[in-house]
Amino acid sequence: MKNISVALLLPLSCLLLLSGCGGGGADVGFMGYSGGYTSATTGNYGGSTSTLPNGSNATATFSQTLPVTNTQGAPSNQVNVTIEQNPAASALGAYSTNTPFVTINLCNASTQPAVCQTIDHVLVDTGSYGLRLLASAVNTNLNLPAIQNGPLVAECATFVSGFMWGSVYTASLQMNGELAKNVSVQLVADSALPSAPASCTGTGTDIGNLASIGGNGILGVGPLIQDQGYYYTCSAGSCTSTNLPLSSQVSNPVAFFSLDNNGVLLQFPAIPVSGQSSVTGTLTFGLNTQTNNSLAGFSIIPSDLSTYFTATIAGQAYPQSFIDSGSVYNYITLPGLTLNANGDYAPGSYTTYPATLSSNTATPTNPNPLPVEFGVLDSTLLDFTANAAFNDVVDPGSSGSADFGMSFFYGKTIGFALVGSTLPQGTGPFYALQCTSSNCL
Amino acid sequence: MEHRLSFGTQSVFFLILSGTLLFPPLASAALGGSDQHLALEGALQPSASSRVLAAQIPTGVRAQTLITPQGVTVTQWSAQGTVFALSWQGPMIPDLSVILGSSFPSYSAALRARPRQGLNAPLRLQSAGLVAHTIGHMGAYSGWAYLPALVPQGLNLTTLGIEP
Repeated sequence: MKNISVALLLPLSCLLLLSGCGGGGADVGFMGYSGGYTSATTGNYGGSTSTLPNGSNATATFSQTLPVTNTQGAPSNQVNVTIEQNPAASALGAYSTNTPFVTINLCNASTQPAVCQTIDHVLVDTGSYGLRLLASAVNTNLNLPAIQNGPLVAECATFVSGFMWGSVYTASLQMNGELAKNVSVQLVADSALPSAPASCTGTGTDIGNLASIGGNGILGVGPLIQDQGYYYTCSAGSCTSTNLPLSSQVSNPVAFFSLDNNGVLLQFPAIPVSGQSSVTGTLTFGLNTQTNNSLAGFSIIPSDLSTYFTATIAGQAYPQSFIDSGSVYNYITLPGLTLNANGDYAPGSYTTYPATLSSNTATPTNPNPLPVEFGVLDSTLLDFTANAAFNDVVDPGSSGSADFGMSFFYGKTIGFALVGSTLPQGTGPFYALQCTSSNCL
Repeated sequence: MEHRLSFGTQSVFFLILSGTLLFPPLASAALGGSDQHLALEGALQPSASSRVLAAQIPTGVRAQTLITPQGVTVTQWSAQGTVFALSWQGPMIPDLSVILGSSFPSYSAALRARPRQGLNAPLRLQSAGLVAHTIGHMGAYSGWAYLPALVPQGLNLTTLGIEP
């Protein structure tokens, strides 16, 4: 039995610790936060801590207060992202290869004081929008408020790999110095719900579990905002379809931050072609809002409103291409290469392929096609037990689409500008790319 | 009201009112089934699909397109009254159990069989009985499927926007 501890912040503590309650310079995100939390950005807060029994998958943590800054010794708009084997998934026999994890702080800000819970191993996904957590990882004592009066709202979120069926609640997400207050989030595989209706199960197979996700949930921070899932209201053991306003849908929490709300940067160091046991990168919130998220020197890849661009590889154009940290490898068709028993491309030796990335749209102005390259190595030569991070596994894609997955991120900083954001580099959605490794640009 | 309707009252009402296309309310329609109606509830569209111009539809092939209430465009392709292929695109994945019909168990089994690829790695099912691809990410998905045994002799599937 694991325990999760929840700390209750006493607003009085802010008054007692004056040195920790001043304006925080670049620290932003809490202005407008009601009930005694308006000004604090730094410092070590006091507060009573209570331990709540919990049978969740999340690692036990404690002493969470709201707000908290610089929990990882990083700039307040930045958190660490780790590629590693998640022990909880490994216990189920599931590898969490190339799965970028962050730790989040999930809060109920409707109470005073606010109540928070730390949840580890949440997948950072640039191919979706919104926070989804396994209900089993969320402490029921958070007592998250419903998003509306009346019957419980449920959602079927669809992915290529399958669907996630869960309830929809209001929660606040805190990550280091950033706070997204009162956002709709999905609690996946919530036992309080009836089973998924046929219109949901008919979209694929159920991936709302630890083994399929690899972690306790998904933090969708891609370039769009609302998740456009299937919504339902549920009562008396059954669920019926409903049209939920966009503003109530599960949404990208980055758009809810006070200042650093126009996109994210995801950065990972380069790794060897043989892979690496673990890698730590960073997820930085905001673009051009702080000294650590400037897009100066980045190459821009404008995308259409579906966040697609055209990748050209071996003379073939793929107009529905995208960059997705939630895809484990690269999924790009490479004619002439054979597949190994894993279904991965297996060249005779390590091989790199050039690609050019260009815009699908006339506006923003299409810059010159951006040359990049990616490596391919026979995955039967790799050790998936010892290592969790790989930059050179490529699987076949589909006609029209190249999916640049987690394999593509190493040795790069990749920016994702939110739809509607206006920056000197263009209007979102767009991608921004800066390469740091020798095999990049 | 459920999303899933094989041929609901509302659809019949819509068809009669619109007067554009009338399909008799048969009991079933999906990949491999009759083309006398479209399986999903939605608004019928005059064109075949955004990927294929009506003028390019091969002789002997019938194209029918609808848009579901959630905004997914589904096109089914039939020959001699039997649906042999379909394609779709939209912000979410449609109820494939309806449009794939008896082929859906093979599709969902292929999803379950593949090693963990993450959320939105493309699905490529290439079997003798069924070929199905699904690609994309949240807000922009698309896919197609066909039954190789039912594809008319000599038809090049690429003319339908489908990768053979």
